[in-house]
Amino acid sequence: MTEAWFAIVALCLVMYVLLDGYDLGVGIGMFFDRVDRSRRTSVEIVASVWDANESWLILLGVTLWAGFPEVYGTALPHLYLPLSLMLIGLAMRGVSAEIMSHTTDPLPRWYIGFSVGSLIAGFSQGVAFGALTQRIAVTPDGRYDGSAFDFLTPYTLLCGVAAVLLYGALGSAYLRLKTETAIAAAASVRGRWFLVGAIVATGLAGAFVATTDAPVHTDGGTRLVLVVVFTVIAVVGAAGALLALRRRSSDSRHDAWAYAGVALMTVSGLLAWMCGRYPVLLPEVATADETVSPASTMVFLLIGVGINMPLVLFYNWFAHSSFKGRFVLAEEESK
Amino acid sequence: MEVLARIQFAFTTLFHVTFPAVTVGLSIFLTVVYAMYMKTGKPLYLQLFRFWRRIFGVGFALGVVAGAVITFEFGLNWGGYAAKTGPIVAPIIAMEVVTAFFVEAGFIGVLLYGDGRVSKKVMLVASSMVSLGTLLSTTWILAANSWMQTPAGFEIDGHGRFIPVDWVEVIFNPSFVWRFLHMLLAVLLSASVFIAGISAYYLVRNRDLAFARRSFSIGIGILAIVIPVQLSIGDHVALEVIGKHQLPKLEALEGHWDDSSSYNVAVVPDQDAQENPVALKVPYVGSFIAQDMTGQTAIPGLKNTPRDEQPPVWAVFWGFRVMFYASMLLFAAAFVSVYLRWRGRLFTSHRFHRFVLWLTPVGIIAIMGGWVTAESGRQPYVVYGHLRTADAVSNLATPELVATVVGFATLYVALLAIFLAYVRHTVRRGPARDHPHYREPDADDLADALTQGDPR
Repeated sequence: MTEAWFAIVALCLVMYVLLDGYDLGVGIGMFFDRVDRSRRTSVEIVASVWDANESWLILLGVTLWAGFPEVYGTALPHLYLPLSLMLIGLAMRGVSAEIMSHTTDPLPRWYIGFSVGSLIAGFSQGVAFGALTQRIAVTPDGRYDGSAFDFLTPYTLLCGVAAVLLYGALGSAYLRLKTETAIAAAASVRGRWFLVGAIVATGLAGAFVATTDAPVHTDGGTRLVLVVVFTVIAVVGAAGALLALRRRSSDSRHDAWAYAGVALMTVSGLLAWMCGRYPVLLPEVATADETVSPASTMVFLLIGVGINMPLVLFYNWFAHSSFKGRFVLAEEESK
Repeated sequence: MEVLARIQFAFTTLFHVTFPAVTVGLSIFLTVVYAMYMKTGKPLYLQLFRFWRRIFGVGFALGVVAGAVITFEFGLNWGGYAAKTGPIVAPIIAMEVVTAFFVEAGFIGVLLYGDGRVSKKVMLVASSMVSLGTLLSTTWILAANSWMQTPAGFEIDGHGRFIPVDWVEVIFNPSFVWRFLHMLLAVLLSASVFIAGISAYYLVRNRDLAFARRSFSIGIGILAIVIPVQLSIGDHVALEVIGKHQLPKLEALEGHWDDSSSYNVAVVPDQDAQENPVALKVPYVGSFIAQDMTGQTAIPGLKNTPRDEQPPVWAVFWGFRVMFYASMLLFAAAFVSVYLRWRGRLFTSHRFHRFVLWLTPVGIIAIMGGWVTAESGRQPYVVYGHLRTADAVSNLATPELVATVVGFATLYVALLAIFLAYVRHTVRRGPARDHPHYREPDADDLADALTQGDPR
């Protein structure tokens, strides 16, 4: 049951990064987009789905809490400042997106709020994620015992930058998929830069994870195979995305490849990291089996959440499919 | 350190509750109104739907971002609570996320932006699903909070963790059903007075009258039907639920130190001295609350509870009085509205409209007062009788706590200001443009207005 629940937590992480990754990425990309029509289109594309996408973050938090409560209660105080900053960024992003989508001609402050909020959220998430590789100071009875800035190291800052670049790549690739020629072409240019940066940054982060307190384990044949396979798939995804973003045609197959490639790179990269990391949840302090909730909780969770997961995936699919196809700004202005 | 964490959580939850207090009821209103539109074909109903949907959308978004803060604050500021109660509380919240949050989020895109993209039937389904999501959300969160108030169905293991033994008892703990009903009616009331108050603005200003009359009638009508039921349920919660399971909370909300049959209208308590230096009270009326009209039954006082088990009286007492006096105002409005409706003067009595306009936020304020009572009255426990708040807080440095208290407080003030500005802008703009037959005025209209005189 421990593995099954860890798989659910992992699913939430992957879904979150894929989905909110692109809409935070759209916000981050907006710093480099000065064309009014393009900016308004980007906001409209994100407006109808940011809530559903962000909900995966809530589910990630709650599934981690429910399955591994001591991890939640100890890791979060360690990540206090980056996660608090993330929440403020997400609030800025959400309210800006909502106000803009109800207005015909939004004031510049909302675009700024949307972009800055997305950037803060993305960067903080990367830093927090990187800080999970650190050994967390705990008291003998398991309470957090570190200081406020333990999380702040060159490695975690690198992870913050990597997240921003990766989200930017996801966002640009998504815009390439959802907009028509002129806007898609500009998004592709931005996407190339973001992707190259993301490949370098995530590559460095992956390489240097060996120097952290939570290195990738290479014991056991299956684990090594999985890590290598996922890493290779990630590289393939990255290469595919680079190729797709080089294409200037509006052949829609290549548009889909761009997002698919970055998504594949992201998912495989995360899976490689998780396979190499499991079962260590709190480095040098706790493994999954040591901190898992009692059986009566896990049974309730696996049934309650397990049954609802297909429905949840359906709702997300429905939200996206209701707005499928390329987005064009409505000509009539009565909003 | 504990105080700062409590202040931050209080700010977060009070800020958050403002939005469900409006959006749960509004989402049901939207669904009903859209159904009426589909059934009758009357454009007025589509106008109602489109107009109120604007405020709903922004309010809902703010509720979501504040809710995200709450989820993480459980772990950030209350690591001890998270580690120990996780096996029980977290699965309930997980159910809330999968059965409610995702349902709302999945369909709200269609509800807000689906015009012209989906059929009317799909729009109605989307609106219904969002309403269902808000109702399920209310259910699960009240289950979790009620378990904290009247814990049941658990045992504590060697590490101090709460282990669920019987999930039926955990969820259907002694206070859940009544507190859930109380909160459900509360959010319906707060939304209906919000709708009535904004509609009253148009009635006072004598504009958009067809729209305003229908909105006002629905809002004040729901208020009138629900408030008597709510008062009765509230009474039951106080006497049967709190009286039986959390006596110190009842003692604190009535504000007596020694047993007394009088009723405290207002007090300034001094908890250190265990007395009220200032007290405005009415003799014998306290006994009426216990349903003894002879004035002889005394309400128990706080001195019955050991000092280290007493909740903070000023918060519990004033939280309760705010909620109760607010509900009295709502009851008065309901009563008058029924009379005016019977006399056919509901839409012409401008003094009443002005009164209701001022009542617009009163339902929300009542809900805040109620939650202050509930959560302060639970102190010094976070899981009543079993885990003290002081043992649940995260071990954080004071400066970082201060930083986030200030940071989040600033954020909330800013977001509230944005919301109020948006509501004001939307209300002033008015519902005219949301009417399906609206067209922009052209040169002929302008000429007519100039020559004939603008009736407004």
